[in-house]
Amino acid sequence: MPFVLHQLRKKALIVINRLSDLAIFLGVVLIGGLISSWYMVSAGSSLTTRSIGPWVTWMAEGRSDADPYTRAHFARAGTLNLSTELAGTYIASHDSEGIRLHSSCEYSIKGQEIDARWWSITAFDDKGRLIPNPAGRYSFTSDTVTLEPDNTFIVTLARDARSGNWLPTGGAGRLTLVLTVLEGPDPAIGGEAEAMSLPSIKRVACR
Amino acid sequence: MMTSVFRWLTKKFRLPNLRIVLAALCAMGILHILTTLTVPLFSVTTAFARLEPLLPVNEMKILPPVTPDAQPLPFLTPDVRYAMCRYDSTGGPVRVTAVLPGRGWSLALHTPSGENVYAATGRDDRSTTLHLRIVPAEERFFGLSPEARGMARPTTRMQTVESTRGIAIIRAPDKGQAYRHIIEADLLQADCRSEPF
Repeated sequence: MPFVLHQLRKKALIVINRLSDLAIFLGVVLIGGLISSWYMVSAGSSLTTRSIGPWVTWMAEGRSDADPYTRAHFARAGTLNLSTELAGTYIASHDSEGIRLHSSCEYSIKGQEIDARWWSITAFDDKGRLIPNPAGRYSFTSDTVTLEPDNTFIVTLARDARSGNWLPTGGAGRLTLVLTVLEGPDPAIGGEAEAMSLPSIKRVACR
Repeated sequence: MMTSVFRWLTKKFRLPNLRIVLAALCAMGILHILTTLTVPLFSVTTAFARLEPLLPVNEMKILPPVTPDAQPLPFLTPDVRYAMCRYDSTGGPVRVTAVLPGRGWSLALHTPSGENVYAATGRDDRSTTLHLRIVPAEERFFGLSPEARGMARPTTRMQTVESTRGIAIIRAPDKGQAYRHIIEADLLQADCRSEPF
């Protein structure tokens, strides 16, 4: 009888070992493969994106020679922007200190007049929807922004009305800013992109 | 100390088979590549899929100003007016004409996967009129050319772009209510139509 029990135990151990090997295999394959792909497609890496302060841009957006991560990112995002050969699209979801932008806070976006043919700054919620507001104000462009005497501009992102270039954020929750620069420096060419000074995003107050 | 911990661990837990770990890492890499490559093929939220039901084929349509209630795509800049044409050159070439009167204006052709196959921008000092002839990317015979049929060659200089399906977009910076009728008049000059053989 003890011999039979011993044999059974031995067989059970073999089965458990095989199952644990299978579990490790499937775990590594599924979790590692899917999560790493999801991360590279959603957030990108230094190979596909470039960060300038709080702003992030996908270097090969819309290009015919775009890498698979960039293609997958924009297929999922459902956006249709101009190629980076012509326009740069910079996205900021954090302020200059790295804290997530939120409509409960007020922000000051300050920058030099951007060296480009045309540019615009738009505030969206985190799903890319415009934020409804009674003023019907969603963005500022190089044509509509009021410049300071020293050729800088300040755009205030706040829930309540502010003087100057005010972008209402309502109760949108998490915010995303999109800066579109038409025929500015090419973000794929690192040196030039870094030379371009993009606006800073400073948190003024939160409530 | 370390060896005793290792001994205790190997006693308590069996170390995974190294061959299994290596095979798993290889399979992980393959799954990573396959997932990344197939996202554009199976994504139902592409810009083309969202715009397809809104746009007639080979016809230019001026979109209303982008507002929270009328925003066909996520992250679509509202300070730009858009005229779009969903082109399909499988039945014959498609001709796109656009006037870019100044700075900030652009004409771009986007394939269903979002790739920019053609793009041009307006200049500061002059109005630019663009004539594009979109032909299918694959080889196809559409009949004899006008010259071969004894007809005069068209005088307008046309650029030929190879693309089977996609969306042509004219972007016009919206400077505000006062300029809207001027912008719309310029956008109305845009044309997109299937060309006869």
